[in-house]
Amino acid sequence: MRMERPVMDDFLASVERQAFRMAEFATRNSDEALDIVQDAMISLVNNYSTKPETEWKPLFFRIVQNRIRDWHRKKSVRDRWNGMRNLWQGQDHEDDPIQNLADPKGKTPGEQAALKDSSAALDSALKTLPWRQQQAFLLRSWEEMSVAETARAMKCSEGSVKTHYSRALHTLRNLLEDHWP
Amino acid sequence: MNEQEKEKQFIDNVKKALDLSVENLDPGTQAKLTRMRHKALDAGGRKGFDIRQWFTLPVVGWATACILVLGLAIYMKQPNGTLPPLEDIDLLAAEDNLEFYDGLEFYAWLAEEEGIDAG
Repeated sequence: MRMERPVMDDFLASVERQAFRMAEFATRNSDEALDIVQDAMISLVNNYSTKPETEWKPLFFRIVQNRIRDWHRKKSVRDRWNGMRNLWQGQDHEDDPIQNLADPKGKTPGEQAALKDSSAALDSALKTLPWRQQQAFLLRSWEEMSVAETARAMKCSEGSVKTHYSRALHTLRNLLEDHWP
Repeated sequence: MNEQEKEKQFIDNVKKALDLSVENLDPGTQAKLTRMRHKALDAGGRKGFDIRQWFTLPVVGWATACILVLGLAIYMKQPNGTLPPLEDIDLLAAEDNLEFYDGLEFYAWLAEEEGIDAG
């Protein structure tokens, strides 16, 4: 079956920004998030564009979740190696000047003020969550996926999705109670 | 408002805030996303999801099959279905000037004539 380019274009345009935000929450890095979304788009177009249109959304978010999971795996390996290297060199993380640089997405005084804004507070709160909790929450609440769809996208059991979601919700409500009691 | 309603209200607020953040995405990021989308679609288009692709494969298969059948028919048309004589292969593989072989009949005739004369 021939891919209908305008239809796929419309679909990707409708999900690309949400996917970018999800990946950005997970990686805390815009460039990494863009890479993840690009990979997901290419993979969907190349491998699944002949599937029925109704399947595109769960497939697309499943690919995004796969990429996020891969990114976290690579990061944990990188972090382990960096930790070993620092130990070998007798350095402590606190001595690493790069580690001590202000995170551009972190809480500078200006951003602290911006946190009064509830959207910024939500951003910050979401970034404090472990990524699985964060993604389960976003897929369930923002993308309105069912527990089963979320479990398929995240390649975990439905029970895990419920646990991640419930913990995320609990934490977020605590963190944001000043904004949304 | 009971706990369930509070939770629903909270989720609604979260969704509104997230939707707003997406609507207000900075133009630079939006432009990058658009470029990426077009790149993905172009790559997909090049790879081809055209139904013609599915016709190309059988056509190539048929062409190969026809060539094989034709080759077999020519082979079978040889006397007793034998391969071309080995001498022909020797001729083709020889490094000698092919003109020599072109004039072979002449040389045979010449040798015959000389034999007659001598006799």
